[in-house]
Amino acid sequence: MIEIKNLSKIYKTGNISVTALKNVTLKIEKGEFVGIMGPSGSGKSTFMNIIGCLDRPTSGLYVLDDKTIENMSDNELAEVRNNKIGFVFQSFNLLPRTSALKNVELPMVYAKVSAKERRSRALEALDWVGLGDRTHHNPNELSGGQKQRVAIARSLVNQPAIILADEPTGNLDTKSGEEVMEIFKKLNKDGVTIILVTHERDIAEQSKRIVTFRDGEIISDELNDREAKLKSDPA
Amino acid sequence: MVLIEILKVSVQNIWSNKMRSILTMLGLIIGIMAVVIITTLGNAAQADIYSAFNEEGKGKININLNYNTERPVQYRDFFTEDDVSAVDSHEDVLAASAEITRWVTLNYGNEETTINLLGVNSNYNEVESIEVSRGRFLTEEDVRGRRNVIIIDERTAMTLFDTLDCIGEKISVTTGYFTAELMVVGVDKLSDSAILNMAMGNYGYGYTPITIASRMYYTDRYPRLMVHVNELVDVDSAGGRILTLLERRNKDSEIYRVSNRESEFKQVNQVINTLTTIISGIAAISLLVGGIGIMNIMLVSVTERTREVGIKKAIGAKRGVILLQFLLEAIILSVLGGLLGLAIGSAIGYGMVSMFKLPFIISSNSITMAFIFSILVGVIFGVYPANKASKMDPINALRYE
Ligand SMILES: Nc1ncnc2c1ncn2[C@@H]1O[C@H](COP(=O)(O)OP(=O)(O)OP(=O)(O)O)[C@@H](O)[C@H]1O
Ligand SMILES: [Mg+2]
Repeated sequence: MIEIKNLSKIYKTGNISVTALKNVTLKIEKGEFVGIMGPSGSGKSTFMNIIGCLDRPTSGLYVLDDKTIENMSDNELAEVRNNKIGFVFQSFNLLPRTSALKNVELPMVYAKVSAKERRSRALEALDWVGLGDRTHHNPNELSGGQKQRVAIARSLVNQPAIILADEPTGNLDTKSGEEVMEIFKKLNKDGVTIILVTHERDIAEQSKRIVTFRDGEIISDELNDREAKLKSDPA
Repeated sequence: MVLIEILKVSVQNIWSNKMRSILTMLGLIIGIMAVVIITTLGNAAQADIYSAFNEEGKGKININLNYNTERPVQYRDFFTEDDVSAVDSHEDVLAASAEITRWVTLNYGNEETTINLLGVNSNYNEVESIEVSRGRFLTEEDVRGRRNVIIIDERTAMTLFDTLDCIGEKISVTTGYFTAELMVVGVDKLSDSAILNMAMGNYGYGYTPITIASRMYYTDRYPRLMVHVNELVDVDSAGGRILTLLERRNKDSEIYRVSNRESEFKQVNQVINTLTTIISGIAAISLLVGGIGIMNIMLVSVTERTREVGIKKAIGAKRGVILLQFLLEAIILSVLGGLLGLAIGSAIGYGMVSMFKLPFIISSNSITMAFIFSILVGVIFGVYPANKASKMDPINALRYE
């Protein structure tokens, strides 16, 4: 479903140009759970932003669901972000002074869902991430873990095929991080493709496939032993 | 549907920044307010003059001596009693009266006042709309019998007698050369038109038989004819025919200036119109200033909310949605400012107009104009910031600190 060939991204600031991604080639199938690791500055976020259609590559091919992204207009990309992709950020990126419910409803506003359906689906999503009792709280009245769960509810409410999470547990304590990971695993079980960037080995260990970046290149791409073992273990 | 959501967010944004929103709107409030006040005053003045014309000016012609011709005015150019009767019997004429005026001093007890005293014929009340609130107007007997009578206006009555009930009182009238004792037989009501009353200044006026005036002013000829023409005839052509009549009576028509009040009223109206337009135009410049104020704050708002724009774009907002969001905010601000300006302007305009006792007319025209103007200002000055926001790159916007 995601096919990337020789993807490069070069940032030019004045005379200096930084190569954030170098000839990255990768294929991700529907229903995968991919963990992305790598040192700081290795291009993980750049990669995620391009997959998430927030940014365009400098060169190379990106095909999402048989559609070449580079030919799409800004508005078409917005549509893809709206109904194919859910984004979860390290810094939550919820709208301030806006209730959890309204935050979760927003992607459906852009998808032109009726007000009534919006409300019921948002409530359902919030309930699903365990925040059924916090629907009318504004982000500043929620804990980090709760904010991230609102963000996840928002990312999944349009039933996207892919959820991209860039260090979703980076700002959370271990317990909240675990809760968030549980939600992702549950989503993955329902067939949603998950791509997740993390610095923490044990978070990455919970995915089925680990891709490692260094200096804008993929240096390793392997199935997760532990996950594989768990799967093959008949017990 | 999306529009409703955007609208809600706009209103919420404006509401949660009340102070800033009000300050943003201030320029526009003042601009619209100024224009509304000026047009209200202009409309009031025009309406007042229009009704004054309808009541007092329709079909009225004055024939005056023109002192600005090469040939000096001679005694024979002045009108005689026979000229007046001849014009009065002309088929186009309802009534014609001679008029001589002088400034005279009135004395009653210790009270003294100066008025413009008009010597007129008894049918003068058919020429001019005169309405006596006490007593009566002049009669033919007054004129023919050279009765020492006077009709004064309400203002003069109040000055001299402190009451309007002064019929039968005798006052001494002096021109400086000649003093007479005249008896008050009537009190003339003030005009309904505030503007006409204002134009009269603080001076009062009075009427006395033309025969009395001739004696007081040492003359038996009159410099001016006041004519009320038949309603069915055109005032201009009637004026021409009256001149022809005078020519047949051995008068030199070149020496007269015929003016009808219709064109005078039209001129005054024109002047008010031009003044209103010019002053409104100057006031409208403040609309521009108000618009720039809105643009300024919208630009600040766009920068402040860069991250919000990034978030919205990341979850699928298209350019149009972002554009509409900021544009609507600018339009709401400007329309709100416009409506506030309209309300405050109308209130102040009403206050000023009632102070001058003029009619208050709030035309739907000016409401629509204020509305359209404020929407225009919102659109014109909101487009640039809104467009700027809509063109933001999602990833850069998200990274904005
Ligand atoms: N907007 C930008 N302009 C210039 N250079 C950039 C920009 N964004 C990223 N870079 C550079 O691209 C490289 C990759 O950055 P990226 O954010 O993808 O790294 P990362 O792997 O996500 O790092 P981290 O783990 O710290 O989040 C870095 O060298 C960074 O400095
Ligand atoms: Mg990163």
